[in-house]
Amino acid sequence: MRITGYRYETYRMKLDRPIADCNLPEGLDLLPGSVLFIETDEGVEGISLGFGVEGVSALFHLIEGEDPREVVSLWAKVNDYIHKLGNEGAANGALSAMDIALWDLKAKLAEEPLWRTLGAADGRVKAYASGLDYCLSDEELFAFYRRMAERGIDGGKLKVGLDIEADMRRLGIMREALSIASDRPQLMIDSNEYWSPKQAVRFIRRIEEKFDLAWAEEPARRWDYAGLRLVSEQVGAAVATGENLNSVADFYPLIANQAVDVLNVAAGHSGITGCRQIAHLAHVYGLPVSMMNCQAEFMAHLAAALPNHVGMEVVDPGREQCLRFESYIEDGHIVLSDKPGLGIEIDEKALADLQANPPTGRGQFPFARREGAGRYVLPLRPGEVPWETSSREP
Amino acid sequence: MKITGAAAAGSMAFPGQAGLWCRLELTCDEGLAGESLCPVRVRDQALTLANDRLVDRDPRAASALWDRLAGNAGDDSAAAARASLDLACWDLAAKLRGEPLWKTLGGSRPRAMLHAAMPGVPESDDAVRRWLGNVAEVTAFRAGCLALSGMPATDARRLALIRDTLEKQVKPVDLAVDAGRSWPDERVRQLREIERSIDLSWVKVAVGPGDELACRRLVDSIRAAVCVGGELTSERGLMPWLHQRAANVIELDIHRLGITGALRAADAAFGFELPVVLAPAPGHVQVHLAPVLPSFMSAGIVDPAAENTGVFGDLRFVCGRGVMGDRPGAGLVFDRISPAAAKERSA
Repeated sequence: MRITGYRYETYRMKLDRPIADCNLPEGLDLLPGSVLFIETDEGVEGISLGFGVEGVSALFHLIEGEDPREVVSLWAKVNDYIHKLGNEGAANGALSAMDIALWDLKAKLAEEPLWRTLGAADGRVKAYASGLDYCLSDEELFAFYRRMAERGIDGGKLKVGLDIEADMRRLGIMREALSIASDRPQLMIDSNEYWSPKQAVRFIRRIEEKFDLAWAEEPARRWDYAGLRLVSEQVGAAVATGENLNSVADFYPLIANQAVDVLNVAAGHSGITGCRQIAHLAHVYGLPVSMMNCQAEFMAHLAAALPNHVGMEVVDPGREQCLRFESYIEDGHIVLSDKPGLGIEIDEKALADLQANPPTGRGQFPFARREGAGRYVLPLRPGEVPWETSSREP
Repeated sequence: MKITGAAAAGSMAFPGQAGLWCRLELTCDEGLAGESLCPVRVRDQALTLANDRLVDRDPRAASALWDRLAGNAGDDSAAAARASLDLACWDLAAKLRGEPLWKTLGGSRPRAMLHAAMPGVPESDDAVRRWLGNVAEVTAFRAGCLALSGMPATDARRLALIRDTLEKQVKPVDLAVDAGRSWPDERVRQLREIERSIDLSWVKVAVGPGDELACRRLVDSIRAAVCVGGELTSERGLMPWLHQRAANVIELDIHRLGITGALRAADAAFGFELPVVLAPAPGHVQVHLAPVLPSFMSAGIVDPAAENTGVFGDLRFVCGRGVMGDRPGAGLVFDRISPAAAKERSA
């Protein structure tokens, strides 16, 4: 059993609805996508989904000819190789993608779903809804969270940051929408690193006068352990952060300095192997982790095997045009199938169609940080969002 | 695929391991058995735990099963019982996949760095020489660990003996000591005295909850790295040592932490950039983990020439490294009768 080759396909996908946070309030409905295929001499292929796989060409020689079932050792080999330049950017994207595809292969070769290979008892993972909803009108906001609540999801995360009055109104809308799933739905907010630590304390405390927040996500910069700790100490909500970090090494200062209460973990954290390392470190520290959203919720396979996982983010914006899979959401949980590996097949025809006829839409990913971040709140301009704001511009 | 039952039989002794050990077996509905070694003193506890918590469960759900057994971890006996069951689950999971345990864990073939760990405090310098003779005959160890006698001059002389013997085959070698339990203050003075003539790489200390700050003082007092963790009965117990920076090397004992707990603790140690050593284990099963621990440093081997222990692992010694074979599962071969046969015979 040997790794013989790879290929990757990139494409652009148009979402069913736009997504946004306070850095780009008007949102976007186009996302880049990629699929990495790792090929073996037995004809079995492993896949990885996401974006930023171009760096694989520089690293593939490290795994060529190796046994894909030895994925953890291969991860270490690649991680050691990139140590001088760092596990960041293109190197991190390639390491992550290769690791995920190798885990997919390992499970497929064992003819079992990946959650089983990773040691989970079953393929069920608690979910929470996340609208990436800054660009949704109040009606659309309600409709999204109600649709999620109808599937049993009893927690929601609202994008906030530029208008606290409106944020509080919309939190009420989200709570109302989720109330059919729970009398006390879990409410989270996400300001995507727009605030300074002290702004975060002021704004979150105001919100907490009216709402019981489970966590506030990225209330300060991702690396600012002193600022994050300050927020954690001065508000009632837990501080969640980490989605934009790369590896367990990046989490170390946050954990060692007690700057984080919930760790947001993701596929980009050096793949499944790297993400699991972070979760295990958090577990030893008694901290919960929450898996970030991804296409077809494929990272739920790992989440199912983590002892300290509390809920996976479900965005459901329609990113699966070229994917075939059987996972679904029921009773507030992501239910993974028993199909081997990630349980995801690539619809090559649909993929070719997307490549031949790239969709058009609005926005570009990734997008820039909004003016004023960490210093002052730049008020929303008229028409920037489709909901009533309290801000006024001269 | 489900675990159908548990049984235990036999009585074996291993160099450097306290008490007697038995063979623990988990059977499954596919006709395979997961095997591990279990201290005889916790045999009944392990069988009760298996029947209560593991029967009808899929052995491949090793991570979840470890947590399912967690309620019983805490004291040393419960941890040993839990760890034995975890080892048997992993053995079974690997056998079901028809592959060696190291591959199931995601590793490439272990070619692990080893350290020769002399069992107990030697009675004399001659005892050290005899042990070194056995060790050096098997392979060229790059590190040796001596249990301290409490007499610095004697310990320094014995360490020099170890260094000089091992360096006939490979150079440089790392020297480590096992400072045992009663290490504060007096031990610190002794260690500093030894360090005047011997370059110690690491000092293993036996610790318990509440020792973190004293251990931190030791970290600040000697040149050598301080190694703790061999007494951990749960991966969560590692947290205060990380948080207080009270250790420089983490030792993991799979007969307390199981494979699952050891994997988790090793990931946490990696997050703190701390190297991990694996405590010696009967049958050298611990070496399976070496390639999947991201900051693995070395695995302890008590007596590589030991024979007639009743169990044979799948490890070869090559140029100072431990190279695992391809036997499915943990690769243990017992030269005793099976638990089922033993039960039948006794009936």
